[in-house]
Amino acid sequence: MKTDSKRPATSYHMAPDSRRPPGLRFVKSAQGHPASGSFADLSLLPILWAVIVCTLPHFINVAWWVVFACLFLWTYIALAARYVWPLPGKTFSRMLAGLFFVGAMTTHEGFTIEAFVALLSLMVALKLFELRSDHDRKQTVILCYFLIVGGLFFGDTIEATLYKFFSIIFTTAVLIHLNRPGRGGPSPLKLALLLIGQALPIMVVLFLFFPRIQGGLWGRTHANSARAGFSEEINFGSLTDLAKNNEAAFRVEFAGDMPLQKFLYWRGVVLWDFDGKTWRRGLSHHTTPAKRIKGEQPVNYIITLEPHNKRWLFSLDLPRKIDLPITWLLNDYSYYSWQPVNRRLTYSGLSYLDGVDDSLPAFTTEIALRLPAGANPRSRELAESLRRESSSETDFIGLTLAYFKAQNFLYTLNPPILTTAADDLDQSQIDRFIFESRQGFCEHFAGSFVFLMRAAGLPARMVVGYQGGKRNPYGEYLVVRQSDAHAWCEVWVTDQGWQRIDPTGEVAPERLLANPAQALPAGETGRFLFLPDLGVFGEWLGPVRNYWDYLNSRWNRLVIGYSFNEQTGLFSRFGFSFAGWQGFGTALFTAVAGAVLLVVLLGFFMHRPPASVRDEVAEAWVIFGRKLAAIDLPRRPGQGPIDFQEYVLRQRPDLAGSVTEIVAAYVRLRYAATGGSSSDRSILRAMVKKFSPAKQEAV
Amino acid sequence: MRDDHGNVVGSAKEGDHRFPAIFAEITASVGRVILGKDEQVRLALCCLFAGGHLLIEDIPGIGKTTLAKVLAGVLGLEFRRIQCTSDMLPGDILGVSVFEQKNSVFTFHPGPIFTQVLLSDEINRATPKTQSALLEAMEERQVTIEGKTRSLPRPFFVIATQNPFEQAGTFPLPESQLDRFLIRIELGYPDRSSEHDLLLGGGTQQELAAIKPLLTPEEVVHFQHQAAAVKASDTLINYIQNILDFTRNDPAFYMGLSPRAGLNLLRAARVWAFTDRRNYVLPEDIQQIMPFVVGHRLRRAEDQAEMGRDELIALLNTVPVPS
Repeated sequence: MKTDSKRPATSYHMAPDSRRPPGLRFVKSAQGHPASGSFADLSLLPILWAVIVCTLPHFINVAWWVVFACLFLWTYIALAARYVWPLPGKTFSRMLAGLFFVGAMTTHEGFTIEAFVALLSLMVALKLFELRSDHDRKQTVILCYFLIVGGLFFGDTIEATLYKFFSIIFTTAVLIHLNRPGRGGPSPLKLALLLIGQALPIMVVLFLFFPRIQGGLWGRTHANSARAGFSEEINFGSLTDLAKNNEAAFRVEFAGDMPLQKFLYWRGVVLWDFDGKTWRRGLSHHTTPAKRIKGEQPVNYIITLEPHNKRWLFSLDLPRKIDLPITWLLNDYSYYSWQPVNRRLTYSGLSYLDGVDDSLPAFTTEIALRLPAGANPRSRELAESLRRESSSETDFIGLTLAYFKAQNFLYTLNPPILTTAADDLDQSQIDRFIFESRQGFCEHFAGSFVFLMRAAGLPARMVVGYQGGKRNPYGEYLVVRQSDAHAWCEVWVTDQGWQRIDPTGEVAPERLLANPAQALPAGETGRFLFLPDLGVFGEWLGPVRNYWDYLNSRWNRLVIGYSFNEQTGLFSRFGFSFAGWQGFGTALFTAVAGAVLLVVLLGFFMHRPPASVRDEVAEAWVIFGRKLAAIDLPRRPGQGPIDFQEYVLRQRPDLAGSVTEIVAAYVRLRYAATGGSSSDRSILRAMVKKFSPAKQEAV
Repeated sequence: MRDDHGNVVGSAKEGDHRFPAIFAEITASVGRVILGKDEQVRLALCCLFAGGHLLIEDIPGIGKTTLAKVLAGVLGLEFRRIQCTSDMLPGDILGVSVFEQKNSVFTFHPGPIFTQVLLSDEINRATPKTQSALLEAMEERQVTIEGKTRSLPRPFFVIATQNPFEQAGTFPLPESQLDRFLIRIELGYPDRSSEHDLLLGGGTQQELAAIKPLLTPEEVVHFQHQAAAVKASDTLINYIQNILDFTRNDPAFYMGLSPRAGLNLLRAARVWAFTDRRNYVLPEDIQQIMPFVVGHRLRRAEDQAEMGRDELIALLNTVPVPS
């Protein structure tokens, strides 16, 4: 039956029926909404909530004034509805919209994603003032979906994804609510859950089989992927800042046993140039490829690297190869990618713990010995005197390390600032460190050590990366955090090649054993919520944190990191080869056909009429009826329970006890109580089950 | 599970426990005047407590007026009566404004409709114009005369009678107007023993005079509210819908029951259950009051005549009670 919605809404009107011409058929026509335009409108609050739920996560991405504007608009509309305040006119709204556009575009570094998300949030908030018709209301809620989609540009963590699901369900519930105001049936939230639940299998199929575009889960590098990490230039103090940062730098899974903590040197950048103040990579040697090293202790591992927006990659010292397309292994055994790492990367690597770089081309010798002329005279003197005392290069290294150890150097996160009045152009920082402050972090020790080596004529370089990491017991993997950042040295020893020397280990041996923080003086952890500082609470929080990290790493590897390669692997497991587009087409076709089939099957199973929803009371009553029908006492379909009971008892007074009890319980559940508790229902079921009337012998 | 009156007995869990007892007392009290018509008396009371209007179809001299008077008396309600004739105008029922020369103003003189129990005798003798004015007032429970709306007293209960056998000079109520009556009953001749008592007892006027009010109008309204709160479970609503669907789809009926009929069925069943000391409605309640609620709303498909009560019950008994 069709109803003409344009006609003035009448409760009932006659609809023609061909079978019985004059017959009245009462058809409920579409109920018109309550007078629109009035803000005492009941649908405003649900819409406002949907807008708030969908806009909130964007607040961290947009400029502060956008946050305030949204909060103001929301509050105003909520209060305006309550206290019947005036609403802005069309001209004012348009001017405000124009202002917002200009504002959003000028405060978010141009036409960025952030600018558009800010604009969308503001416009949706403004739209709340224009809820004049049903159409407006639905449009506003549908705009909320765009807000949700906008969130995909910013985060794909577990929390963000769960929140997205929540906001989708909530928004859908509001949309359902708007489409059937005050109507009975299942609650909108329940229906929304059902709808999303039904969509889930299709989502999974599409996720697995829809051709992947290289990139993150949502096909775009994240806007806020700029993470912490060290830079190509290391000053004294650069790493101390990083050491206070607890973010994960990368996670490592080992194919075999995890090597000992003290061998876990994660090689990042090798720094050659020193100008008296800053260590830099230097660029002249980059084109020479490295030799493939050999060794006895191979380690296979898989690294999941968080984006750090630099081009270098990390590998276990000393790497032989990593499996990542378009990367270069430089001759100082640092790895570089062709583009900055602006999304999460996963690659496997092979390293040899005992591998040694034994190449020193002639031109690098010069670079590895270069020092700023005239700087740090006292350090030079020290180096030369130590060199004179020593019998060999190895002996000299040992003497220098012993010097560090003997002079009571302090390993600390808060070293004193070494740059003074800068009268000598900062040419004596190392002097000041070695002879005056004697307090420093790893880059102080490594930098000074390299300086001393070079001053004594030994080629040396500084390596920056990470040391150690924390094992996560839940996933058997290692988390390397920014706070594990470390700097160490490599010194060329004739006939032995480049030797890794870690002067920090001499001063603070604990640094290499477990946690860098344990090597620090008491009370100097510099981190918010640092576990050992929290006592018992920390003990309890530790496993939680580990498990959460494990969940995140799984999520990142399996869901976010599900790439074209993994998809290809999955397809080939099902017997599709990817030789050209034909195979791909077949796979896609199969996947789509499978999805359609799944939907049809789901529809078939889930779309049963609601009557077949299990109803224990009805079942019990039907069984009761059947049992009595079996002894020739059938219930007429039109017979109510009490009439039926009387009928039965007239024929069979001997059944009075159980029949009366069952009928009373049934009436209570069906007509008297609201639904009845599950125990009542099971009592009725048990009574009916026990009820077994015997057929009366013919008298 | 049934008491002496054949009523289904359950337990009234909440609400005013006085009602069933008072109801029985009222029935007995009325029964002393209207002899041998317990069922009709009970239905009339049920109709009143459900807030509906009653249509009595029968020949004159059966006791319709007496019934109306007794009901009003027992319930402590104000009673008035109109004898409908073909020259009656709406103003005769609703009231008129009369110009008073002394004060040079119009003064409203309320008609007989401004009462609590109104007996509208032989309603089918009135012209359609007057009929519809009365029926509209019944439905709206207010009267609009010369642009001013006046509420009728509460409770407001109309008992209309019509004589189905005299057709000359009458205007039979159309279906749409019949639909406005909650319950229709026929009084019928009394049985032999009742008539014997009636003849023996002589003057009903004395009996009538002896009637004492058992309730106040406020209490009547209070019980009306209580009865409206009687629980009708989903299953019961489904049963009512089964009945409605059946009358709409079965070829035996000329036309199906209206949603108002469904609402009325439920309303009457609630009171019926309430009088049985139950705070929930059973399918049996529906079945017992159904013939009186739907009888005047359904017609046979072949000849568009009203169905007999037995025919109706037989048909509606095939409607399944949901399990």
